[in-house]
Amino acid sequence: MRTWTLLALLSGCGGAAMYGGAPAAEADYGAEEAGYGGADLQAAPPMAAPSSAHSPQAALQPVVDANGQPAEGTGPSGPLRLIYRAELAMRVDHGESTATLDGMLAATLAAGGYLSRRDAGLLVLRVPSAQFHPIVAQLETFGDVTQRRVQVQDVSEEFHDLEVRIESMTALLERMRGLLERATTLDEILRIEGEIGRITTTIDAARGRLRFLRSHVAWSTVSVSVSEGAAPVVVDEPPPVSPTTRTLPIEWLNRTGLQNLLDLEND
Amino acid sequence: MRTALWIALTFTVACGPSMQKPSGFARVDGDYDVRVTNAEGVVIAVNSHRNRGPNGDLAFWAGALEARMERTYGEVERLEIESDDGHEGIALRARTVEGGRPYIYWAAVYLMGRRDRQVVTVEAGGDEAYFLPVADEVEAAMRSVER
Repeated sequence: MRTWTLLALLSGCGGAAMYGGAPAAEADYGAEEAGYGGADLQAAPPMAAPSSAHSPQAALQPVVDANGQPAEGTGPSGPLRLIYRAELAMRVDHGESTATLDGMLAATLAAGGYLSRRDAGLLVLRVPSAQFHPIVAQLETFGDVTQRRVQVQDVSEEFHDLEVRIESMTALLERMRGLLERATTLDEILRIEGEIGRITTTIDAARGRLRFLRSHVAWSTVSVSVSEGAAPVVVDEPPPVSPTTRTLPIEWLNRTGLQNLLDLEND
Repeated sequence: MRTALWIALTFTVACGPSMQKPSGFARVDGDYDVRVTNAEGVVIAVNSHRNRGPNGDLAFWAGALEARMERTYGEVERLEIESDDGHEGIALRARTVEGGRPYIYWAAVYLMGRRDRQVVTVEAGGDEAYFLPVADEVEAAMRSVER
């Protein structure tokens, strides 16, 4: 009786309900893109170290500890987890994009970051969150910034929810395993195993999402697209001007030349 | 008697320069004191001008002619020459393209007469294909100028 009561309760709380009404698939990485609700600064002034801890930029500073790891215990619902992203569009001189990208990559590597992706004119860099603003500021020196987009996403609540849910689902999983050991009929065994499989899948998805969030909290993403200015117009230098002689007011002299000489019809 | 003397003097002053006409050339004077051409249109012409007004020396007239040629034809070769009768002169040589054909243009200038009162110019030119075969005869004619 206790077994059936528990199963009846479980049947009413499917995977979707465990993610606050969102389908389990949407709770995966894709939902992170769709639900990006952080601060959004476009065409902001060049990045610089904040002068005050209370300045707006200070509020956007990655919250990390002395070791560069995300700090905890600073948010209202527990540890404050922030994901920083920057997208820079830059223009450089004609033919300089490759060298510029190389320089940006070298600067990032020197600051402890790494290359995530590189395409023609595009770099996707991952940098330690503690180095986010200094590196962005440094990257901006490699060309003319035509567009800047800095986003900060507070995932503290989602982070907390995931941890709680993983904990509760793990506890539930243990109880289901206990029930499975005591199950006596084939029908009971099949239903309990089905529930265990669903719970396990849910826990795996939550853990995957949690790893993703941890990674993006610890490592900020900086995307840089570089375009080149128009090729310089090559203007052919005019031929050097020869010293100019002046026509003398001597009438017969100005009649000399092939034209008159060969005009035999003026005989 | 005096009249005859004046007529003779006038004739002498009015008489222009002359030139040995090369074989194969015929006179077609036109506006020139002497102008000759061969059948292919290679032309040699002589003209004389009173050296008044500027009253220049050979360097002036050669320079003036050279400047005009450079303005018209570009690069000009300059040579010091001497006429058959011993007058110093300057020869100027240029090459140009007209109507897609290369042409040769030579000019020479002498100062002749008493106190260099006459500027004598000799010009020669023609299609390069017809000029070069008779270039020696043309050069000889340009040196043969006398007043």
